[in-house]
Amino acid sequence: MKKLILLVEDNPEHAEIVQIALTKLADVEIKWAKDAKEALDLLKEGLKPQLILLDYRLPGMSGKELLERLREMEGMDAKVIVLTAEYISKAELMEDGCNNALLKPFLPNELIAKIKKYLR
Amino acid sequence: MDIGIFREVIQKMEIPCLILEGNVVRFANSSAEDTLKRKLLGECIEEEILQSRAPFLEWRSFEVDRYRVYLGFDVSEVYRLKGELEKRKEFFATATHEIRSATNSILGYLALYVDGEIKLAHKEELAEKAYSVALKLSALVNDLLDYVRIEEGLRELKLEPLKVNTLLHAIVEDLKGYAFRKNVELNVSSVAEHLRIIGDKKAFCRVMRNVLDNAIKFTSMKEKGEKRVTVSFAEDEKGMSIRVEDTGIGIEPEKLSHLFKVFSSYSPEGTGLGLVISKKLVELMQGKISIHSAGPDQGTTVELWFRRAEK
Ligand SMILES: Nc1ncnc2c1ncn2[C@@H]1O[C@H](COP(=O)(O)OP(=O)(O)OP(=O)(O)O)[C@@H](O)[C@H]1O
Ligand SMILES: [Mg+2]
Repeated sequence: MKKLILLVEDNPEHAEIVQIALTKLADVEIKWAKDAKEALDLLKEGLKPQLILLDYRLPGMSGKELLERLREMEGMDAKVIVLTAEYISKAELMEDGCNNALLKPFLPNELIAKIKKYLR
Repeated sequence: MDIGIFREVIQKMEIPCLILEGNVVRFANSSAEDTLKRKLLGECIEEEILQSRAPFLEWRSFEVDRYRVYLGFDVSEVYRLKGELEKRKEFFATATHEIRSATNSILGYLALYVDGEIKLAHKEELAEKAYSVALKLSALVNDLLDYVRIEEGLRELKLEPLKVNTLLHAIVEDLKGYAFRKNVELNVSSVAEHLRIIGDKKAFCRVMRNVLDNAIKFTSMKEKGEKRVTVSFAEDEKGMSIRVEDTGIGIEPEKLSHLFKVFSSYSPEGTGLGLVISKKLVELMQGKISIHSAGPDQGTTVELWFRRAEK
């Protein structure tokens, strides 16, 4: 069965790069939401991703806020990797409750290595 | 202790000063009365009142015998500097975010391009995309440095008489190809040959380029209808105005007042430095700039005004 990844990213270039990079992984399906609201709608409709790749600076609801919401959501067991270009350290991001974080700029292969750890 | 001598000293002080005995004001100098806008003698006064009445005043006190002396220090400058620092922090945070974002795109596209495992029909497009982001990054870095230089007062302008006609036609000539590719018609009405304004050549060109670039960019984004940018002129006694009118996507009323702030961009392509830099430069040339729009899809007009050079 295909493993589902939800990408929440407003920057279309970054989204394209992640999507192309993930073609290197077999049996992975990726769904792209352009903002937090779109992501929440998808989840409410019953989308069950194993992993969420979350940008932090999003228009409207921020990635941090979305992360808080996810943590309160019942039955939500997706792992979350934060991807951000903000002026913030990985330690601070981890405190916010994500499972892992990658600071932009990153190499696509670094992301793939991280993702592999979370896909069973 | 006798407070007589104290009073005399305090009366002469320019900063607000109060002497309390217990809760009762025994003496207040005129500066304190002014600040608190009332006659205080004999009143009971709480520390809270002192705090709340003047937000930029910080009260320090010390005890002498059974009296407590309050001195009010003006800390408005501290507040101003704090605000300034906050603004700079924000600027720095956004600037680094923008640079990191662009770098991420360049690095990502190029890494995928050289990755032999990635099979794509038009792989060279990845390199082209990296190139176009690199161009944007280079413009961004220039804008950031320019903005900082202007803010620090380091950008010195050389004000001299400029021939509007010649300069504008050169700029328009430069932008014609861009407008054509974007499917936007660019019209410039003729301007009096002799007309000269006071300005700095580079700064003037920069401003006009920014404004025209916006007009073309935000007109091309319109889905349907006429796509036209018109530049026209009007002379008055002291100067001349330049109007750049477009039939583009327009601006929502609530956004209008934010456009001259840093990073005010509402478009995915821009960063929102163009208008801020333009405004600063125009003001350094003693001119004016304003932006108007009746609303979304109603087009936008930018009005510029420059001082005329004496004949
Ligand atoms: N002619 C116009 N029509 C519609 N909107 C405009 C126009 N000119 C400016 N704006 C609005 O003002 C915002 C700020 O303009 P500005 O030139 O400062 O930034 P930008 O063009 O988005 O980015 P940059 O100039 O830094 O590349 C724009 O993002 C846009 O929303
Ligand atoms: Mg612009």
